Amino acid sequence: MKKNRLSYGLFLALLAAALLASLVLSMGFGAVSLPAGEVAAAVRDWLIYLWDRLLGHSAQLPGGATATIVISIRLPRVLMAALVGAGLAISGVVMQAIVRNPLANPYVLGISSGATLGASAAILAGAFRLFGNYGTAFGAFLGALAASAFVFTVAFSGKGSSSTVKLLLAGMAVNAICTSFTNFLIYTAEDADGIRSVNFWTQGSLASTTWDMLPLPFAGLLLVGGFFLTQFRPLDVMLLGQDSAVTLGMDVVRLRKLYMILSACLTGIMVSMVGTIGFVGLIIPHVIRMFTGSEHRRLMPAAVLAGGIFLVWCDVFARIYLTNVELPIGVVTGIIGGPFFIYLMLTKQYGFGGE
Amino acid sequence: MELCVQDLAVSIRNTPIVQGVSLHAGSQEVIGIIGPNGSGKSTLLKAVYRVLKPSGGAVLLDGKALSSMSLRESAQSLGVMAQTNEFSFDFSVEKMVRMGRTPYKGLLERDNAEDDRLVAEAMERTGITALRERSFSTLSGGEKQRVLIARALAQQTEVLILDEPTNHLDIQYQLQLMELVKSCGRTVVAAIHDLNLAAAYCDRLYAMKGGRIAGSGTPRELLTPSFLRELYQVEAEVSDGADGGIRIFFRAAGK
Repeated sequence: MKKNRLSYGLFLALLAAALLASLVLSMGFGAVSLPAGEVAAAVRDWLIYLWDRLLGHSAQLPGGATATIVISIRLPRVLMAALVGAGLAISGVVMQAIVRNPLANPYVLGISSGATLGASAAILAGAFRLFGNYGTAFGAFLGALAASAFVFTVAFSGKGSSSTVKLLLAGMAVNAICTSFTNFLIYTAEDADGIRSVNFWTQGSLASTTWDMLPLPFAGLLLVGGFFLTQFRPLDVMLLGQDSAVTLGMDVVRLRKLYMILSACLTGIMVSMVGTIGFVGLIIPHVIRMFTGSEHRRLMPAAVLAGGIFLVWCDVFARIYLTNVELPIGVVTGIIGGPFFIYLMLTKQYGFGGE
Repeated sequence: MELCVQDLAVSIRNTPIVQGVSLHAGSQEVIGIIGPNGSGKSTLLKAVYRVLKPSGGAVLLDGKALSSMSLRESAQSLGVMAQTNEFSFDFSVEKMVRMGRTPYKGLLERDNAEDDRLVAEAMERTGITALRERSFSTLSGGEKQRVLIARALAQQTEVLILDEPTNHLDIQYQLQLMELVKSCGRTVVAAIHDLNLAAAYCDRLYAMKGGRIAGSGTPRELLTPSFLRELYQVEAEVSDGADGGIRIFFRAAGK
C-alpha cells in the first residue's frame, strides 16, 4: 500500500511535469519553428511583465517577433488545447461511471451532434447573428445543451424505470436526428465556404483561439472539473450499480442527474470553443485506468493531466503536418490516438470494463 | 437491533409481487426465508433494503421507520449481500471490501486506521486475505461471494440482509459462511434455498408462497412433510440428526 501510494505520486508528478514541458515545447512548433530556449525566455519575460503589472509597477510588454508569436498566438492556443483535453477527459471518466459502460464518452448524450447542428445553423442559415463573432460558439453551446436536455427527458420519463441503456439509446437517437438535420442544412445550402467551415468545425480546430476565448473554458474546468475531483467516492460506488450503491447509502439517482448536467455543461463549453474533437474523452480514461486502476481518486487527476498533454501534441501535429494548411485536430486525434490505443490494448492487461 | 416488517406490499409495474407480509427478527436472531422460485423472497428483501419502494406497509428498525431515514443513515444499520452483482469496471478485492466503509465517510475523508483494521478483519474472517490484490472480476463465483460478504461485514451494521448467501459456494464455504453469520452477533435475515442449511443455522423460518407468508416457526415446527408438500409439491422425509437438528430428504411428488 505504502509503495503503491509512492509510485502513484511519482506517476502524477511525472504527468504534471510532462504537461508543463509539453506546453513550452509545443510552442516551438508551427509555421515558424522556434527553439525551446527562445520560447521559454519569451514566456519568462511575459510572466515577469505580468508580475510587475500585478504589483502595480509600470512595465513594458516585451516586444519582438518571437514574443508576439509565442505570447499572442501560440500560448493561448496551447492553453486551450490543454483545457479542452482535460475537460473532455474528465467528462469521459464521469460519463463512463454514470452509465457504467466502457463505450461511453462525453458526447454520449447527443452533445456533439446537437452542437454541430447549432453551429451549422449559425454558419449556414445565419442563426444567432445577434451574437456577432460568437454566433457559432453560441449556437454550438445551445445545440449541445438542448440535445442533452432532450436525451435526459426521454431517458428519465416514459414507462418503466430509467436505465443507463435507455440513456445510451436515447443519445443515439438524438444523434441520428441532429446529424440528419445538419446534413439537410448542408445539402440545401449554396454557400461553399460555409459548408467547408461546417466540415472543418465538425472535426474541431484550435486555429482561431485567441486570449479572450480562454476565460470560459478555464472557469468551466476549474469549477466543474474541480467539483468532480471531490466526487471520487460516489463515482466509485456508482460503478457497482444502482442497487449496491443504495445499500451503501448513496442516492445515485439524484447524483447521476447532477453529474450529467454538469458534464454536459463542461463538454458544451469545450465544444462551443473548438468544435467536436472525438476520441479524447473515450480513450484517455481507458489509457489512464491501465496505469491507475478504476479508483477515481487516482484516475481523475491523472486523466486531467493526460488529456491536456494528448491534445497539446495532437494540435502540434495538426499545425505542422502540412505547410500553410492546418489539419482538423479531430483527424489527428484519430490517427495518433487510435493506433496507440490498440497498442495498449494488445500489450496491457486491462479488461476494458468487460468480463 | 430489531427488524420489523409490517404488512408490506410491493408491486412491480402494477403487478403485486409481495402482499401483506409481516415478519419480525429479534435482536441477534437469525431468520431464514424459504419458498419456491418466484415466491417473492428477493422482492421482499429488496423492499427491506430500499432498492424497491414498497406500495404499502412499513419496515421498522428498532421501531423507527426505514423510510424516514436517509439512505446513508439506513446503510449504517443495514448491510446487504445481494444475489446479482455485475461490474463493468474492475476493482481490487481490498477496494471492494473497503467500499463497505462508504456510509461512514465524508466526501473528502480519507480511510483511517480504524477502517484499515475493520477491512482487514472482514477479509480475515471470510478467508480472502490472500486475494486482496487480485482484481474482483478474475475471481470464481464463490470467491466473489465471499468478497461481498466481507464488504457487508466491514460495513459494521447491526442488521444483515442476505439474498441467497450460499449460492456458488462449495459445501465447505457454505458451512463456514453460515457459521460466520450465526456467530457474528448480528440480526440476520437471509433468503436460503437449501432447507437443510436453513434448518441447521436459522433460529426461525418464514415460508413464502405467491408473495405471501405461508407459514412460520422454528425449523422443526415448520418443516413437516405435509407443509413441504404444500409449499414445493415434493415428498419429503424429515428425520432427527445426531446433533439434535433435523434432516430432510426429498423425492419428486408421486414417486
